[in-house]
Amino acid sequence: MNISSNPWVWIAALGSIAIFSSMFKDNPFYRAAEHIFVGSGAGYALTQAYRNITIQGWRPMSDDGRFILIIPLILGVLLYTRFFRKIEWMSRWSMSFLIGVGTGIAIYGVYNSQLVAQLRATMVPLFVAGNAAATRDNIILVFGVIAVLLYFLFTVQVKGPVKHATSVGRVLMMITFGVSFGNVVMGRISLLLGVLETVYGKWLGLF
Amino acid sequence: MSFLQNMDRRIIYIFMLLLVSIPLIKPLGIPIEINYMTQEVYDMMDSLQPGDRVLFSINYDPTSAPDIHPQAVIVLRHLMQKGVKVAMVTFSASGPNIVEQLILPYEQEGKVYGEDFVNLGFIAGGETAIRNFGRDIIGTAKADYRGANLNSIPMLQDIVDARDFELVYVFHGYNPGVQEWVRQVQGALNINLVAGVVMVSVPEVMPFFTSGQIAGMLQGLRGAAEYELLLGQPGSAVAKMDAQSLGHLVIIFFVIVGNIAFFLEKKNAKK
Repeated sequence: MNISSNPWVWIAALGSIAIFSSMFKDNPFYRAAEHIFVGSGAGYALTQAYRNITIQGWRPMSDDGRFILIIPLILGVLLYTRFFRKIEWMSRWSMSFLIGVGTGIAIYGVYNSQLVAQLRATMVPLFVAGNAAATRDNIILVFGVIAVLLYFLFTVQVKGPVKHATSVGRVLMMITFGVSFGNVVMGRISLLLGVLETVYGKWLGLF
Repeated sequence: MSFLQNMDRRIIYIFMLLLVSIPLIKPLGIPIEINYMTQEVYDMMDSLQPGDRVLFSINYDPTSAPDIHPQAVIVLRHLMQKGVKVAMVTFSASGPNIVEQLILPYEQEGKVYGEDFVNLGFIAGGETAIRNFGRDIIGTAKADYRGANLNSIPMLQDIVDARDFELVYVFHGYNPGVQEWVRQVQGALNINLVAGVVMVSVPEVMPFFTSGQIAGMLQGLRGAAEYELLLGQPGSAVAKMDAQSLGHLVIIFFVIVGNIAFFLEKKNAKK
């Protein structure tokens, strides 16, 4: 065992243990670590925000004379008017701008890269000569998409062949949820291993 | 049966902690099979030539780092060994420090900041920022994390947009990440995009891989372990895979036990 002499490693390890202790019972160590985390996170975010405003807003204006940047800076300041009841309506201008621009950009991207591109990726040949694996995958892909879409088709009565197709769609979705859950479990264990690496490896020097 | 149905969750925690701790301290050496997607990413990186430029988009923070940081470490090591130049940008507020951590060993080794790698810092604005950055890199980032004007950085000379990099590698811990890069930059500029994603996000990113919108994908810690093996430099990710496997066994065991208890109790209730 070769315990670390680095104070930052000690802080990281003890902080991790304090946060993990909440799994067994709420306690003052957990609450202290939680408050320190929230406080330091807020402080860090503030410094990053200040840096961003300086580099991307203030300096180009003062050094390069790009005074057009005064508009986003004013819109940013207006967001804080919500703390003053009499002039809080002014914050809506900034919010409208943010929502409008954000929605416009997102719609373009979603339509082009997610809807059209994904539809195109589903239009595959059902038979690929000389490649049984590709044929199998394409059949599953095409009929899988149709079955799942039919499951969400509420305008026709679910009976006969449609009923069978929706059942297949339901099974496929259950398999997908299972895969997602498996990935979540794997990801969470990775996070646990990261913490244990800090405690056992960097702090206690066990490996 | 009611004991199994209402088992104290702390018993599961203790089981999990014990079973993942043992292989971390004493590895078991469970074999790791290389996924074809990891092989594809490795081959793509290996085909880059000295002097080529790659852009890393570091979109994770310390909370998701254990699952994805080992990927960034091993891919960067591969590229540094090949003499590829790497620019790193982040759209996560805590990203710049992660980038500094990544480049520190190479600065100590004698690689030159600004020539072999550069930290472009954090750009606020999520999807909008990614869109602007992809189209106008110098104009959007303006200065690097250390305060230098980007026009003075040697490895960024003649860089205009994301197409000027051989490929863009997005390390995705949460949004904004791969989806935003695909939506705003890959579709419009047709760049060569590679993704490294946390395990949780694999199902949502997979459609972009099957459609060809992303050229390759590494999956969580497992992807990093496979990449370490392909590079012939097993490191921390490989060491954790035994513990990962035993952790899965614990979960499988408790899922089976829980289901047996559920069905037996249902059967008893019918009687």
